[in-house]
Amino acid sequence: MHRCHLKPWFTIIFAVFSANLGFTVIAQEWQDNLYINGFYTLGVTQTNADIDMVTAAVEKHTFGKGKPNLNHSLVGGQLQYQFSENFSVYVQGAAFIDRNEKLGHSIDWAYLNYDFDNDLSLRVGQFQTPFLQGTEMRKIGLSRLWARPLTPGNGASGFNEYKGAELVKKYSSGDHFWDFQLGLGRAEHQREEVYNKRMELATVRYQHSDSWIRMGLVHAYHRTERENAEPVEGYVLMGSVEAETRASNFVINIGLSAGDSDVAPKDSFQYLSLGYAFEQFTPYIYASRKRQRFEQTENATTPPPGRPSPPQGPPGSGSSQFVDEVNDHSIAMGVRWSISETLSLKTQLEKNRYQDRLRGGRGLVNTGGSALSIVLEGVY
Amino acid sequence: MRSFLMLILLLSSFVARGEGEIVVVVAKNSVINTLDEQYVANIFLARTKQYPNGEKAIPIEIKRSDIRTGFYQTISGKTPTQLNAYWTTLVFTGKGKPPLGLTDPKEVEQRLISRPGTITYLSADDVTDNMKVVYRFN
Repeated sequence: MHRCHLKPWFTIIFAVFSANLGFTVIAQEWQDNLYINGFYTLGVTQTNADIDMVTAAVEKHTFGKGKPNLNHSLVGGQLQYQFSENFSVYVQGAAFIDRNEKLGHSIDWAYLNYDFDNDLSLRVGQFQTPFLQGTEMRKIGLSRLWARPLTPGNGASGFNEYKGAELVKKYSSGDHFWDFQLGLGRAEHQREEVYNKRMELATVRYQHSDSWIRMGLVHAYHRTERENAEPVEGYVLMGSVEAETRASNFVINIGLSAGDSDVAPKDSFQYLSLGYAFEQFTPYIYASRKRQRFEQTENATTPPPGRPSPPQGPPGSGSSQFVDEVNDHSIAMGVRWSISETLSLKTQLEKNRYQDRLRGGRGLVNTGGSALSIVLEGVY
Repeated sequence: MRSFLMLILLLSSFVARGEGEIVVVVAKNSVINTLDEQYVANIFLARTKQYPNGEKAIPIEIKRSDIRTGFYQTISGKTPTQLNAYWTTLVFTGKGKPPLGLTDPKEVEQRLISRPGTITYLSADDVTDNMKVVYRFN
């Protein structure tokens, strides 16, 4: 991620309006083989307390009490060039407001793609981890019903991006569709002290009529290096299930994920959303919960954000000891207005509660607050 | 009364000419002779890149044509907004893209002839001698 010191909100708004004036169709082919697509989010949020919340681009961003926050805004684009019928290159990135209120930018996808026969593709380069739909499509606001991402910023235990190779296979039989994905590579972890050695992943998505289900499995080896502590190595195994079904204008989304590790927090995440499509309007409600349980084993665990490293456990003990548990709850109601095929306006009222329970009842920290968001999102 | 009869005659002539009927076509010399509706949907919704015989399928379409919305509603059952959400997910994960859109119908015909595997949809009235109908929507 790179930063520059332009006025970030102005830059993003300017970029969005420039893009809309110039390109008003979903995919503009400058030439036969060049495809350009873009996406943007312009969001204003007002809170009744200082709350740390997920934005489209940043894991946690402080939304300050009593002032309009534009932190959720971003603009991005994708270039695809088709060298031949089988061979193409993709680059996708975004500019956004980072947690320091500066303009940051990122290259999220950059890869070469080769299409074999039988709907099999090989991709080599940099990808977003296909663990949950929210970890892959986090910055594309139009792709989701809600005003902000439900998926926590550390969606795949922090391994949200990786460099490597992917095999993608599509298979269809009548009105049944499968999408298989296998990946192997090295992930970029959100925390600087965590180095990934290797990551393997597999996902499968099945669609029938207006319903789909998607399952993901990620296995990552990593090494954690901290000051005044021995480096520790271990693994994280994560699984996820997400589904969407539409029936009689109702839209139901459900998602579950869990991660287990001997050196990192045990993550779990659940969400449930119910919407009702009423012509261009879809009112919705949702509830989500993210839990991180930090346990001390003979290997040091990754500390919670803002906490010092817990003491090293006795070598060879092999037993785990509860250190800390963090719960993040959110409930919300909102409406999505699909103004056009490529533009939507969402308004959302949510209540967030953050609970931090320390070992031995030494403390219980409760924070939270309410947030009202109005978000304009689109693609071009 | 005369006006009413004229209107009936006019409408009858449209029906007789098959006005509004959508057909799916390939080049006349293509080895593809027929497709079912599900296969047409799979090709135009980027669920497959090939014909049943393994040949590469290259879907193209006329941009902003009058029949576009009806065509996609028929093959996908989705509203334009839902369809765009579908394309958004495919495009930004690199797993598919909408058919190439061309503005000039003559260019569409030229592509059918010059690039093997090209397939498109159009009004039955616009079918020419260079095209072969592989599916008709009833």
